[in-house]
Amino acid sequence: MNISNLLTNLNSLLFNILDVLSILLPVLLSVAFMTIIERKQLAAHQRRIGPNTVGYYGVLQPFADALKLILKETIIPSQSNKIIFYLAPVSTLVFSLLGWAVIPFGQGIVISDLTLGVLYTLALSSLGVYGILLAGWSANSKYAFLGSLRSTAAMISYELILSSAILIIILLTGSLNYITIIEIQQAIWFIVPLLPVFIFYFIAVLAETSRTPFDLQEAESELVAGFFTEHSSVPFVFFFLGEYSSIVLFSCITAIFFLGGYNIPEIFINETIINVQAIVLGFKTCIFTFFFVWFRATLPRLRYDQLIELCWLNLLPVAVAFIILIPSILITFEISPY
Amino acid sequence: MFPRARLAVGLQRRIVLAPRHNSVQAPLVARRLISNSSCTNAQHSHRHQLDELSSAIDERKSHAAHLRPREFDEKGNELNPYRNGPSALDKAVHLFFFTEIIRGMWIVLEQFFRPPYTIMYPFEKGPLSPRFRGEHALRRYPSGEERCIACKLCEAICPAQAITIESEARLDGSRKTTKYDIDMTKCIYCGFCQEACPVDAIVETQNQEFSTETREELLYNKEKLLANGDRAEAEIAANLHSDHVYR
Amino acid sequence: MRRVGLREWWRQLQYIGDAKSGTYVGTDQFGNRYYENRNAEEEIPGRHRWVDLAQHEYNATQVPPEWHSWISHIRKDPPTQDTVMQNLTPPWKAPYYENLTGTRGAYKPYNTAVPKISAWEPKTKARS
Repeated sequence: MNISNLLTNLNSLLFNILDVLSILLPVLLSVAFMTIIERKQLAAHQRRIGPNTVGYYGVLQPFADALKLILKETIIPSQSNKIIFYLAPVSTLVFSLLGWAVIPFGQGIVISDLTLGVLYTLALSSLGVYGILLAGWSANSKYAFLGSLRSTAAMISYELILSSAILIIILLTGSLNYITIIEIQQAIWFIVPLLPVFIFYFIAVLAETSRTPFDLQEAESELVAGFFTEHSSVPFVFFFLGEYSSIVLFSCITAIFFLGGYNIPEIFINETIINVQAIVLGFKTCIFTFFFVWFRATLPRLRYDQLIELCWLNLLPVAVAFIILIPSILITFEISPY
Repeated sequence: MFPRARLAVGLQRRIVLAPRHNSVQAPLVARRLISNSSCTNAQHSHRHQLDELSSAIDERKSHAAHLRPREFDEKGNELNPYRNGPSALDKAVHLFFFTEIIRGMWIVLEQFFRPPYTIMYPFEKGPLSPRFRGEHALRRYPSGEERCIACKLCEAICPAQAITIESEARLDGSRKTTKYDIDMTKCIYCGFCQEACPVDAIVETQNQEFSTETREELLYNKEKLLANGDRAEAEIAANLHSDHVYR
Repeated sequence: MRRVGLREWWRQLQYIGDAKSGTYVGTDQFGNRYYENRNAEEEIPGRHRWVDLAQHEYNATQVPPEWHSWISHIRKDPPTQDTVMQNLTPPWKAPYYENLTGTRGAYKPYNTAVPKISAWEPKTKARS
């Protein structure tokens, strides 16, 4: 191998790392601000003001919180499985961050344009549960264990609904590629024809990101803090980041599936330096993060059996009905994409 | 009093606006949207008291179908027991279109656009009663003579035993305290000392902002208590005056 | 709430954290200014009385007792109009100072009575 070849390799490696970092840093920043947005918005819903002291309007609060958490003492339970205890938060964070790899932020702005991008996302979202499961098991604590058991049992319920809803979109577009899905929505956003599908998709997403009303793996009133009861300091930060990053990620994916991703009407597209498409995608993502917090402010937590009942008895029949209905319509009017 | 009149106008307007229901008829929703597991305990508590030996299976059975008695009209035809309730279609519509949840979410969204109730503390303060029991003070007569006669009733009644009094006769023959210590770390702010006092000497002022950085500063002696009274006499006297009708 | 002007609005956001405008009620001896807005459409009831503290290092105890009873909604009228409170103000009223904890002026407890136990002071007769 000659020197120039090596240099080219190094160069491409460097650019790869830069690519990843240019996605990762804004994502982590947005996750940090997601925490403050959630607190402020919850406060507004409850007619409080929320954190308002650190920085103007409290915008620096997440950094103060992160600093506080990092400076705290890391406590490991003596009876715990220490390797897995550390591995669990890392895996949660890594799996929720890996999901950003296939998200297109604009025309041609994507780290890896996978043909099976949607499948990749589904696989990662299923893997994300491992972090919770391992954390609950390795901590050797009753609360954490119960929390992880709950999350596992909830997963087999909502994953089905989520996959069915995504399956309908795949049937409609005939592709598993995110960019294709977005390009097809230039005609019409999928939220218009598929509103009922969107509703049960969003319910499943709420369960997937373990948000209220489906946050029973971290039900404070019953399980202290759920699966991360024993985690403190930096491992806790990782859980926290992973959870909120998956919220932002799924808001983004929802925007791609149902609000047409970075699509905007043609007249607004211009060739300037400012990438309007990414801003549009960010704006659509914000709408869904608002929805997440709005649901949290409104709905009480479901009981464990209620979630399973809702998923298996109420939502799954509807989902199956739509899976039959949508291809039937496509075939009847001969507008099938394949 | 023009602000009062403006306030009244504002309130009236608000009352007119208040009964704004953004929903379809509420009583139509008979079934809980998500949960349909029956809550037997709440509905059948009286039955539990009657016969505790009846098993849960019996209860479930009776709960299921034959709970209400059959009703018949004049001609002897059996009436539909659900005729007064919502129709099945209504129930299904409310279930499938999430009317309950959407109504709840709309209310939450309404609150989002309204100003917060938060009182910005050092600038605005929450309401206090004229009978509020805060920091202690020893009062003086309008002539400037201290009121306390060292009867030690407050010391006797204090449930936390926070008060310590020592007394001596003064040169003019009146008995006064030489030591009046209140351990504010012990005090439970019950107000018994204030009630026990025959001469209204020891009172609890409306001051609640006397937090300190060290414990030592909370061991009040006579001079500190008298100084508290000297500073806040106008407020104390006004509050006692506003309450004197009830005493 | 642009009635107070842009500069005052910005200052209020720095201090109170909210833009408020209302009628000026009075000033106490320290220069703290007191305001009131009893229009329930503009101010939430319970937030209708507020103080604009004079010092930058503000502190809740910088409000003197008379105004404290007004701002805590104990008295209806401000002390400038409250005849009851004015009549009950004694001539020997001591000047008010804020809670001085943490500063050099903080209160230190001391014994006001003669100590019951006095240490033995040896008395020696001078030898001739």
